[in-house]
Amino acid sequence: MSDTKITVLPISPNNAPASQDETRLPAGKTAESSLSSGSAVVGLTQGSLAIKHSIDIDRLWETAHGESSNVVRALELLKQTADYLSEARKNENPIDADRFVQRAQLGLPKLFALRSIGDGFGLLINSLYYASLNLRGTPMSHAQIDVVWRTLRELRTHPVISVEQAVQHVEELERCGLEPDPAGLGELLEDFESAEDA
Amino acid sequence: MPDAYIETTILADLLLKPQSAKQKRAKEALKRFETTLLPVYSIKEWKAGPLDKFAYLHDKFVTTRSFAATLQAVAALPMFSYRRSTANEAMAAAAEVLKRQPTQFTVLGDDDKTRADSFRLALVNIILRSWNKRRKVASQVVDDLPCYLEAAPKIGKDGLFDLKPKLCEREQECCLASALKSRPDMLEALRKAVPETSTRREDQKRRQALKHLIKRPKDVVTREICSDLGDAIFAFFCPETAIVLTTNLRDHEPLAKALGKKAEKP
Repeated sequence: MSDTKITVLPISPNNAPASQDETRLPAGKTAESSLSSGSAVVGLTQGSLAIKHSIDIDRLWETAHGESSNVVRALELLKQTADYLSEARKNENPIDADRFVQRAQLGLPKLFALRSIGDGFGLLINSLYYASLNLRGTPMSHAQIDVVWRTLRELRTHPVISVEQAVQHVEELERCGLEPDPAGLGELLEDFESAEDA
Repeated sequence: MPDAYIETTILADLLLKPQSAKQKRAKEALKRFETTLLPVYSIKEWKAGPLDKFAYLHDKFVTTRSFAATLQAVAALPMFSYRRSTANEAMAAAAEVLKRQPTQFTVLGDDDKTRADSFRLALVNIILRSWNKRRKVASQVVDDLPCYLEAAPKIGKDGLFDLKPKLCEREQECCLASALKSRPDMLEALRKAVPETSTRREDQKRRQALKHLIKRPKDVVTREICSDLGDAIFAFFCPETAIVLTTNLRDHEPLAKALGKKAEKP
C-alpha cells in the first residue's frame, strides 16, 4: 500500500511577490506548495519517502509578471514545439503531419538563441536543427517524429542538462536515422589532411 | 575471405566525416568483411591526429568567438600556405560573404558569433560521440596497448578541449618492444621498403626508428620510436589472414608487400 496521500490546496497564483532567490518562486512559498493553476497538488509523503515532492517544471522556473528568463522562454518554446510534434504524431495525413513538423523546425533557431541556458541545451538544439536541415525537406518518419518529440519533452523537463546527457540524446537521434552534424564538418578535417600531405 | 585490419585513416573517415562519400565508402568496405579488426594503435593515432585537429578547431571557435575569424585563422596556418585553394579558404571567404548575406548559408544563426557557437557545439558533439563509437566500428578490438591510457576527451574549465594523453606512458618501455625485437628480419624488410631518398619527414623518421631497432636491440623502445614507426606498425602486426584496410595506399602498400601482406583501399 502506498504511504502517500494527495491533498488539493487552494492557492492564488498572484498573491505573493516574487522572491529574489534563484528558485524564482513567489516569495513566502516553498517549492512544496507550488502549483501552476490556482490550486496546488501537494504530495504529503510520510515514511521513507518523506522528502519527495513533485514540482511542476513551469512552477519551478516561474517568474513574476512581466519578467522572463531564458529558461522560462525556452520552456514556453519547447512546449510549443513539442505540441506541434504531438499534433504531427496524431495526424494520419502525411502532408498535414509534415506541416506540423515544419512549424516545430522553425522554433529551433529561436531555441538556439537561448543557449546561454547551458552547453547541453545548446548542443541538443543545434543537433536537432542540423538533423532537420539534413533531411533536405524529406518528411520525418513517424519513428523520427516520436524520438524528436520525446527528446524535446525530456529537454523541457530538464532544460539544464550536461553535455554528456545531451550527447546521449543525440545518439538516440542518430539511431533513428537522423544526421545531427552540419554538412561540411568533415571537409574541414580533410583540408588539414591534404595540406599535411602536400 | 581475409579479415580487415583497420588503419587510422579508415577510423577517421568512419567517425569524423559525417555524410561524406568517404564515410560511405568506409562503411561499405567494412561490410565486405566477416571479421574486422581494430588495433588500439589506430585509436591512438586517430586521437593524436584527426580528433586532435577537430579539438584545435573547437578551441579556435572558443577563443575567437567568430566563425569567419576561425576559418581565416585556420587557413592562415603555415601548413595551408602550400595549398591556397583549399576548402578552408573557400569557407573563410564564404564566411566573409555571410557577414553580409547570412541567409544564404546553412550554418545556424544570423550573426557571426551565433554561427561560431553552432559550429563549436557541433564539434563538441562529434568529438564526444566519435569517442563513444570508436570501439564499436569493428567486430573486434585487437592488439591492446597496455602502455597507452585510452582517456576520454575532456572540456576544461577554460572551455578548451583536453585530449591528454595523446602518447603512451613515458616511464615504461613500449609494450610492443619485445614483439618488434623478436623479428629483426621483418624490421629489415620494412626498412628497405621505405625509400632511402624520400624527403618526407615521416619516411625519414620511420627509417631511423627501424634502423635503431635493428642496430640496437638492447636499447629501450621509447614512445617516440613507437610513434615514429607509424604505418610500419600496421604492416608488422596485421595478421597473415588479414589485409590492411587504409585510404593511404601510397605508404601502406609497399610496407605490407615487404612482409608478404596486402593493403587495400575501401
